[in-house]
Amino acid sequence: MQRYLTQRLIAFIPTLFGISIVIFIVMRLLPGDAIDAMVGTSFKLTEAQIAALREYFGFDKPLPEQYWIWLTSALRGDFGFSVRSGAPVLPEILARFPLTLELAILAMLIATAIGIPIGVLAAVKRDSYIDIAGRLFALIGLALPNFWMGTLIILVLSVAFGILPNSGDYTDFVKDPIANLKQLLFPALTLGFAFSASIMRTTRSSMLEELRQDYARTARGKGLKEQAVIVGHCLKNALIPIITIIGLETGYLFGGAIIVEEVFALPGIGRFLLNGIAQRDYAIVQGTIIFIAFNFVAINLIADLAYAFANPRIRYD
Amino acid sequence: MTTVRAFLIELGKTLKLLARNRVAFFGLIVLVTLIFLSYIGPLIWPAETKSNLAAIYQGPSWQHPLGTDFQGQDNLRQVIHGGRVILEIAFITGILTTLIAVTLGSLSAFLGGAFDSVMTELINVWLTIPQFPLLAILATMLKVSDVWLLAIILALLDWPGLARQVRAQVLSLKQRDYVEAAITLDLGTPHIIFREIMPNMMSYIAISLIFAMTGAIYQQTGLVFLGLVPLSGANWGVMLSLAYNRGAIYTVDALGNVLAPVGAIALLQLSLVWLARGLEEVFNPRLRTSV
Repeated sequence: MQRYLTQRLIAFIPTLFGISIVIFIVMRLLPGDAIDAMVGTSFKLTEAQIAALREYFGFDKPLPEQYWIWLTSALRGDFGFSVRSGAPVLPEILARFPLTLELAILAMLIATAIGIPIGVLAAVKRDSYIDIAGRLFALIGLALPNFWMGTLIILVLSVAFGILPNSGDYTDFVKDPIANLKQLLFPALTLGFAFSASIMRTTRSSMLEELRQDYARTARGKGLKEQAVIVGHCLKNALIPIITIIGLETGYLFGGAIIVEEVFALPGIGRFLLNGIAQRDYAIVQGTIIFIAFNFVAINLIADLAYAFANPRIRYD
Repeated sequence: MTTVRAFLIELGKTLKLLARNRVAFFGLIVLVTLIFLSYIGPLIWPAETKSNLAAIYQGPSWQHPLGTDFQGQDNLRQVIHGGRVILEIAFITGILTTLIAVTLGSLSAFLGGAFDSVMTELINVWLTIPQFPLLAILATMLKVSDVWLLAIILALLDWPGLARQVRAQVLSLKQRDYVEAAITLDLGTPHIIFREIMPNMMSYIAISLIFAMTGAIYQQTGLVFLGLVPLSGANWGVMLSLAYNRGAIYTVDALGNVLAPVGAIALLQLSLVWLARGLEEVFNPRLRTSV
């Protein structure tokens, strides 16, 4: 197990390194730069002034040097300054991150709470109405993009129940947990819906596989109640692929969060990134993407660890 | 000529099998209907050029079966006009993604060695980069307004997942006796990849192509919805974006304006997923119930 963990931890670093290079290259290959975007919209500057600005922000240096400067400062926790506002990027990201993280965690909890029970039921009662309904649910979750879902939720709430989802000021969880959860409930449902469908599908197929195994028959043969066989024996083994899917998809939730934050007007890192993109603010975009990628890799690492704990074949290796 | 005939015979057989599979057949019918409506429909029902202020946000009626939008224009007509671009981008992206993924994935599995190591590492890193944010950056900064450019960007982002699966498939097919025989006979890499391995993967590739299309539909409508690519022309994403930004979403009477594009997208996605599921059963003899 220790070898497995060390391998995973070692693979973490080159992956992040690779991501940072790819993002840096993509940002620099694109036509135009932050200075153009800054100057183009507000003032007319002379060539000399533009050159001075370029020099000030370091855009005149050769690319490998720019990358090196950015990388070494990023390692010290300095993600640079926003070209627009002049504020350091990392504190801005960290200030917005709790909201996005909370949204992702809530969505994951909702998705697991819906996906696993329905998946187990569908597998146990295969080809029954529950199974058919569950499969239909999974299909809809797969086919409907999450912003349609978000729009539909707003629509149903506002039209049928006359409540408008809160799109005013965001309340911090620490200040008022209940108001905060009220605000995040529908965004989290939106984000979690598609996710619950994929968890349900994985749970169903994985449970079907386990229910067929010899050990399940043995457990039934020695007189265990069906419930004990399903939960205590089969689900425990079926959890292994489910954990992998949860880990992978939680990473994707950060991508989905961008759209959901926009739809529900929540000030998370998704909206921050969108604004950064619109203003061509290199430091913000680079920093945010690296930050999201870092979380993605970290979550996968945690999933790998959970996987190792759930799977005795790795645990006792 | 013989290849064309063989292909047509194969196609006929597949369609026959498809007709027996209710889910796949239903998906195919919905898909063909949507394609037909999007390409032939505009010729029968030309676009409305004037707004009709007297008919803003109307509910369903005989004249406007799906109601009207903020300009008093017919929602159904807009849905008919808005499918073409989405279908085209989805199709081109699907083809390009599959082409890149199949070429690189099979080469990687087949050549092995340094190329394989580099590809595997590249794919791993690529898959870790948050796709949608990167797509948002590329689409905004390149000011995408061209169908092909958007499709190329989508394909460049989407290929790694599929390439990894293709690589695994080829690796396992490579072990089969007939491929080993071809290697021993020194028939050359192109022959082995295209004549021995590919035919055995066609079903898999067809299904992946469909899933690549659903991914492309999601991504492009997401971009349009967020306003990251220019809002021009008729497009279901543009329709929903306008409905959302003009507040149709908070108006009871404007239900049709929101539900029409949502329904159209959902129907297109569902038809593709149904078709893919059905094809899976058709091509995989073990899943097939009767032949």
